[in-house]
Amino acid sequence: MELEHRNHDDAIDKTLAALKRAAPPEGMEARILQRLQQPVPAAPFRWSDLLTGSALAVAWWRGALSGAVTAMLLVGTLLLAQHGLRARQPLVSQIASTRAPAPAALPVSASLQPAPASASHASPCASREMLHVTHSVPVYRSEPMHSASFAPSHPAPVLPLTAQERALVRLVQTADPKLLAALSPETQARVDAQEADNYNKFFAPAPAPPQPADNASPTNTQQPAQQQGEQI
Amino acid sequence: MDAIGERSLQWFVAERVVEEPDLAALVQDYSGLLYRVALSLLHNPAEAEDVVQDVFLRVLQRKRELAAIVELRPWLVRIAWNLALDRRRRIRPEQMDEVFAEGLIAADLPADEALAEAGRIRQVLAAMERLPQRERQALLLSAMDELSTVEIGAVLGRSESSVRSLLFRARNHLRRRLED
Repeated sequence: MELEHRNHDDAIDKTLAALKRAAPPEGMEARILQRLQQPVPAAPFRWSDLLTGSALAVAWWRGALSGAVTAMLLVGTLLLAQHGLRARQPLVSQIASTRAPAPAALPVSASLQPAPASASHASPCASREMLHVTHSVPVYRSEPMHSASFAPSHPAPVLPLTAQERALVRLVQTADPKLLAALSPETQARVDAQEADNYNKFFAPAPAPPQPADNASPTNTQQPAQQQGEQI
Repeated sequence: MDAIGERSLQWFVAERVVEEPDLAALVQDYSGLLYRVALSLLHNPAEAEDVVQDVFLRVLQRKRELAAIVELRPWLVRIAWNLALDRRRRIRPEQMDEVFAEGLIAADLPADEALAEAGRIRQVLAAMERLPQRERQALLLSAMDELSTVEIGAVLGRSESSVRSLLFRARNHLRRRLED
């Protein structure tokens, strides 16, 4: 077995040695040099040559690749930073809306110019009618407003009462109904009319009795008095 | 300024020297090695010579790139190896094995021994053809004395340890195939 192994190893070694010994045909170098003396066609351009070419090309490509990688990293960092700002902006707008309810944001950003001097007033004009809109640009970045619209709404904070309101509340709680009625002109008019009516009823003269005959009138007038005196 | 000028002049001189390689010296130094490398794959002397010629034509076309090449021998061998692999796809080396094996035998052997030797070499060459590609290539390149294991790795695109492993496995596989 070992002998067989050794024979095979010998055969392999002899074959490899024969390959090692192989001599080139005679005149090969001369033929090659003669061929090289003839004009050589220019090498066709290949993109792979740019990567495997001279040191200058390799350096150039390395620089270009590193520049591209750096640019990609920068762009990625910028995008990440922008994304972070966008994510933080709705929270800021929410906080701002809870502190001071601002007027609703317009869907367009208008470039505004002040109205002509003839139409202007002494005070600064805040209304849009007094401003001249030249052109409008749609606002594409409305994510903060959009998210703010979906935010849970809160009731408006209770504002303090004015002095007049406070006086009115006090009046409702403590005053006389007549005084309260005085607050309403109609009620007041009705009350006045009723009082005038009562007054007139109280002080109004008695209705005149029917006129009897001329002789009977004094006796008739004295008889009740006499009857009253007798009863007393 | 003078230092810069001197450096530029040195660089220019170096570039000029490298830009015009001595092709005759290159052919004289490396044509034998390149021929054997191509022959080990192609088993055909004429095809191997054509490969060597193509290698130096490539060198002539890209002589400006020689400045960037640190290891010239592995670079040339890799070119020859790739060109031989391309040619090997067009021809069938096993058809040439009989003639090729007879050509490898030493001329001073007696006729009967030469015949037996040719038979053994043919048998080994046939077994080598059945080896896995990487193992066969590593074994063929190891036959070239001029190439170290590192240079074989550079040609095949493998590390030195990988080449050693390939050589070990190739020997074992080849022995087993010869036993069969």
